[in-house]
Amino acid sequence: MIRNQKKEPESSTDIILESISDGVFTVDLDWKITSFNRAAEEITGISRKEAIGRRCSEVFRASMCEVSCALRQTLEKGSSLINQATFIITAEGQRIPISVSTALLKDKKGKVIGGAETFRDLSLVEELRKELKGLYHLGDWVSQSLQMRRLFEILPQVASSETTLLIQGETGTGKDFLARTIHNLSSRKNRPFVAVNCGALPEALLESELFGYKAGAFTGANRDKLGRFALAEGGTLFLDEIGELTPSIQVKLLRVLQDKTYEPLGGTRTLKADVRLITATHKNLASLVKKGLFREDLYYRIHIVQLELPPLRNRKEDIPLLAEHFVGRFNRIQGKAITGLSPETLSLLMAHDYPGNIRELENIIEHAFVLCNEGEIQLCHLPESFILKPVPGFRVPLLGKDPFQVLETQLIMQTLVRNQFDRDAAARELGIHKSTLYRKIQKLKITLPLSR
Amino acid sequence: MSPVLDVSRHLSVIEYQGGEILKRVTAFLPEEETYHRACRIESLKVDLLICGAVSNSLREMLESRGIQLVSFVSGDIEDVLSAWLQGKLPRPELTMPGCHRGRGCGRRNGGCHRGQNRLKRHPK
Repeated sequence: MIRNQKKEPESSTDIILESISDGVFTVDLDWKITSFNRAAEEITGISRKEAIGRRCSEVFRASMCEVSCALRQTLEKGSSLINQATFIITAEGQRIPISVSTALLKDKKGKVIGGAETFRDLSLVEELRKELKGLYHLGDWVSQSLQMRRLFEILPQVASSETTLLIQGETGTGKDFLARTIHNLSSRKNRPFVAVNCGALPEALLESELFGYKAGAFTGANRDKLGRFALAEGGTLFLDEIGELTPSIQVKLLRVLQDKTYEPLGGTRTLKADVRLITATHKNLASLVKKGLFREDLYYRIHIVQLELPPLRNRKEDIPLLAEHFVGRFNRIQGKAITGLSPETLSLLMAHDYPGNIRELENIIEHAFVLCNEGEIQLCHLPESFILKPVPGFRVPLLGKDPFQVLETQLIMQTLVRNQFDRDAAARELGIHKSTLYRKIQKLKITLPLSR
Repeated sequence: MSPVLDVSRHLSVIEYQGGEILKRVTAFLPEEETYHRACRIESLKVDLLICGAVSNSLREMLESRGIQLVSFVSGDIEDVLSAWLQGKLPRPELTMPGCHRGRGCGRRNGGCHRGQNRLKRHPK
């Protein structure tokens, strides 16, 4: 490893550090980099000449630098950290997953003179892990679901065509991420991807957002403003919640799709639009057409290819995978080392129907991260409303570790609550005899409210 | 300056005109997901964002929302602000390592010198 000093003969330690594939750098007590090995140069994309003498956070650019710097913890506590997961941003803007270990640097008299950090590029490990798990993946999408596999199979062809797309899916299923994945797989990937939520803006504002305006077009328009069509020129424009478009914007959008031209507000010149359009909605557009709320001609223009994102309740096999993904991400962001979900927590998550889909699952895990500091996420870390709505006198038993028992308890409790504790009705809904239900209530130690 | 925009917790939002600061507030940035983070920054109605390292995905999302970025900037925020107001940004001592000679730093085309004289904020 070449140090700051010139012409210093290389020691055997330097030779070893230069030959290993882990990145290694050292800092002094002012957080300035004092040495930077070959692998560190390769992983970060920064030469040691540029790195040495600079603050480590400017060179390393890890997600943990700001909130939970590993070296700072080591220097403050005097103990090493091993294999902390994080990511760095390279000079090319790539996010590289890495694991970090740290140690104190001492001089011959034992006085602390700085710290050493070693880091390992986990990009390849991540890829292989996905392969070994037999997961279907495409871009940033990972799934175990057959429905998603079918979607992944057709996505490259869909992306390579120039066809207008319609993505349908409930709120929180990841329509925006799917649109971005399609853009990244397309020949337009080096051009802009522009997203607009049509439901978030009032009509007048949406029109100026989409098509832009010329100075003087209306009061307050002091200068020309480019619209999203212009910003997406050569790339992809993603229109989310297209079912919210008003009739007048629908007409203007239809014209862009038919003629590939539009006019900014207050403009006299017609502009050409070289933009691929991806649209999305959580509504049933066909039924909006029948009700006369959505133009039929526009509907047929945008739903040339239609992709359906299944709700999470229809691909529950992905819940452990998604939960693991969120745990890993929150660990990296919050600098925690949560090891995963306890079996009973996972069972409960599997039993839920997720009206809010993936976003709801993400919020549940984020909530758990606030309450859980280490180890596995337990039932007590989940939102109270998620476990069960409190009913006076209705005692929730301490759930055991048997996932089937947890699931069964949760199912019975939910059915009882839904049927106002009418055991006959609950038994009918569950498809079992009322005496069987009674036995299960006894066995699972569920206490019902006295008045029922 | 926060080293990584993708995880930074706060934004200093500054309104200026003609090299003079008119208003300065701190905005909390709790969103973790790149998409939501980009939406949050967009909602702050900023024209220009001066930041440290930024991933390509977040940079693209912000640029597609019409926000111009001067990224991979490092150093003390007051020094950076002062340099910007004087039209002296980017400059080597306020640029992260690996970001000169027209290469790298999250841009496909060219280095970190884009938009130096084009980024003006009109607060009204």
